[in-house]
Amino acid sequence: MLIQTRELTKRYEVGGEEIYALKDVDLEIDRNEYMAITGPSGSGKTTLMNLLGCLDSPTRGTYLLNAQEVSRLGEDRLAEIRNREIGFVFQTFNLLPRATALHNVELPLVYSGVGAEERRERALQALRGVEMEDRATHRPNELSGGQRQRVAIARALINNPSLILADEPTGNLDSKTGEEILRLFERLHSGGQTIIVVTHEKGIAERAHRVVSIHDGRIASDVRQKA
Amino acid sequence: MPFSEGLLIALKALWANKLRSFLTVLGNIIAITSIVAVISVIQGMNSYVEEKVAGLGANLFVLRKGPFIITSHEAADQIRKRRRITLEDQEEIRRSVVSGRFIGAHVSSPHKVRFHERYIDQVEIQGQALPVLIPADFEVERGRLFSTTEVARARNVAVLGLEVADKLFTGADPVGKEVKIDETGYTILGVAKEQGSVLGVSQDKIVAIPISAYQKQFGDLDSIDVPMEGADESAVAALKDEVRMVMRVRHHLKPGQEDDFALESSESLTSFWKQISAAIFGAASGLVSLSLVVGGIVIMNIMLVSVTERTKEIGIRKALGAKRRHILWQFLIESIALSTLGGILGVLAGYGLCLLIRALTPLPASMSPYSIALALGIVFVVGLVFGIYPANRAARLDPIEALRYE
Repeated sequence: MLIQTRELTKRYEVGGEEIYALKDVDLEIDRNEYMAITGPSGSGKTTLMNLLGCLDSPTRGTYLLNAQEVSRLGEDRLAEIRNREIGFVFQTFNLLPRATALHNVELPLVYSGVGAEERRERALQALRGVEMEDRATHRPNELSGGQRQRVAIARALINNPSLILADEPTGNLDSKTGEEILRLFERLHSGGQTIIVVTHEKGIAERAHRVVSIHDGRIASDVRQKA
Repeated sequence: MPFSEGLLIALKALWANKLRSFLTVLGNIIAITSIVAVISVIQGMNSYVEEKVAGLGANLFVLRKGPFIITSHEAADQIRKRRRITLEDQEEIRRSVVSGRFIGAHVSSPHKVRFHERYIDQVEIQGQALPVLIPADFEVERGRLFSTTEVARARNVAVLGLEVADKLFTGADPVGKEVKIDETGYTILGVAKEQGSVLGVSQDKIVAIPISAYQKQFGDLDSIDVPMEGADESAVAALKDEVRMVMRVRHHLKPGQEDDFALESSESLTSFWKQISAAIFGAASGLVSLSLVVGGIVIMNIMLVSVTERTKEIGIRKALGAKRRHILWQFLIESIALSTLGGILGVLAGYGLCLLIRALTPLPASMSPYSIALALGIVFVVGLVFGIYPANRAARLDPIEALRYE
C-alpha cells in the first residue's frame, strides 16, 4: 500500500467560526493505481490534494505515505518528502518563466543535491520520455500549452516519485492536447506509476480506474472502474 | 543547493531587471565611489607628504625658531618674540657637538631675478651653508656648487634652479654669466638638478647662494634653519640632546624653563598631516555610512518587492522540494550580489575619479588593494544585513498560498 489515511481532518477558523474543509477521511491507495479525486469547488478536494501532496499538515488524523507517518512532520521534512516522493503537475504548469525547459526539469534535483552533470543527463532523459528533448533549451513562453505541460510532467517524473499528483492537468489545454496528456498519463500508469488526478471534469475523472468523489469534506463515493 | 547555483539564480534575476538593479544600487555606487576616492587621495597624500612635503631624510632634523606647523595665533605671537637662530648659533653647534655628521644652514626669501631684459619675480633665494641638506636631494647637474672658500668669503656666486635657468636663458648655457638678484650681480656657477613640484608649487624656481652672501645682501635679521644629520637613529637622538644643551646655554634658559627653539624632523610634518587626514577620513566615513544605510534600505525595499513579485516562483520551488534555507539563501545571495555589484561599480567609478583627480589636480591619488577590499567588504555586509529581512520573509512563505498567488 502506498497511501493510507485515517480520520484525516483539516479545520480552519474563519472569523471565530470553525470550518471543516476535510473531515475524517479514510483513504487507501495502492501502488500503481490511477485514481481521480473529484468534486465540486469547495468540496475539499483541493485540501485533500494539498494534504496528500505534503504541502499542508492535517489538523487531526494520520497519513502514512510509503509506510511513513508524515502528518506530524515539520516544514523542511515535508519539503524533502515532496522532493523525493511526489511529482506535481499543475493546471497552470507552474514552470519558471525565465528558465529553459531543461532547467525547469532539473529543478527538483537541485534541491536533492544532485550534481550538475548528472542533473543535466537525467533531465534530458526525462524530456526524452515526454518527447520534448528537442525543446530542451526553449523557455516556457516559446512552448505551446501542451508542450509546457509535458515539460512539467517530465519535471514531476525526474526524481522517480512514488506518486504523481496532478491538479486539473488538462484545465488550461484544448481537448485535443488534453487528450494527449491523458494518454501520456495512461502510458506512465501502464509503466507502473501511481497517479492521482484531481479534477472537477467528469470526462477526465472517468479515464481513471478509480474515482473518489468528495462532498462537504467527506468521501461521498469511491468507485473502481474496469480498466 | 550549492552556492554557485544560488549565485547563478541571483545573477539571472538581477540581469532580468537590469535598470532596476542599477537604480537600486545607486546609493552603494555613490558611497563606494566616494570612500574609494577619499581613501585613495588620503593614501596618496600620505606617501606624498612623507616623500616630498616633508622632504627630509630619515636621520635629518632641523633647528628652527619655531615648529613647522603652528596651529594658533597665540603660539604664532609667542614664537615671533623668540630669539632668532643665527649663523653664530650654527657655528657654535658645529664647534661643540660630537654626534653630528653634517650640519648645514638655510635661509630663504622671495626676490626678483633678472638677466638683461628677462626677469622672474618671487624666486626663492636660498642662502645655503655647506653641505646643502635642504632640499635633501639637492644636486648640481651642470657646472659646480660653490666651495667652502666662496662661502667663507661671501662671494656673489649662485646655482640656478632648473626653471630659473630655462626661463632666463632659454636653452643657452648660463654657467659663467651674471644674473641680478634685486639688482646685485651674481656669477652663475651651475644649474641644479630638477626637483619637480610639491602640491603644484615648483621646487625649481630657486637660486642657491652662499648664506654669507645672502646675509651680506639681505641682512642677518631673518632667523635661519640649521639642518643636521646623524649617522643613525641613536646618533640623531644624541645630536638632538647636544644641540638642545648648546642652545639652552646660549639662550640662558633656566632648568624647568621651556625651550625657545624647535627641533623638527619630518615626523612633525607627517604626524600633523596624519591628524588632518584622520579627521577627513572620519568625516567622510560618517557621510558614507549614512549613504550606505540609505542604500541598504533601498536594497531591502527592492528585495521585498522582488519577493512579492516572485511569490509564485517561491511556491513552485517549495512544492518541488526547496527547504526554507534554500529559499533564504537564494534571496540572501541575491541581495548580497546586488549590493556587491553596486560596490564593484563604485570601485570602478572611484578608480576613474582617482585617475581624474591625478590628471586634473596636483593631488596625488593612488588606489590601494586595501581600499578595494574594504569597500567590497562593506557592501557585502550591507547586502547581508539588509537582505536578511526580505529573504526570511520569502523563506517563511506558505507553499500553498505562494502557489495560488497570481
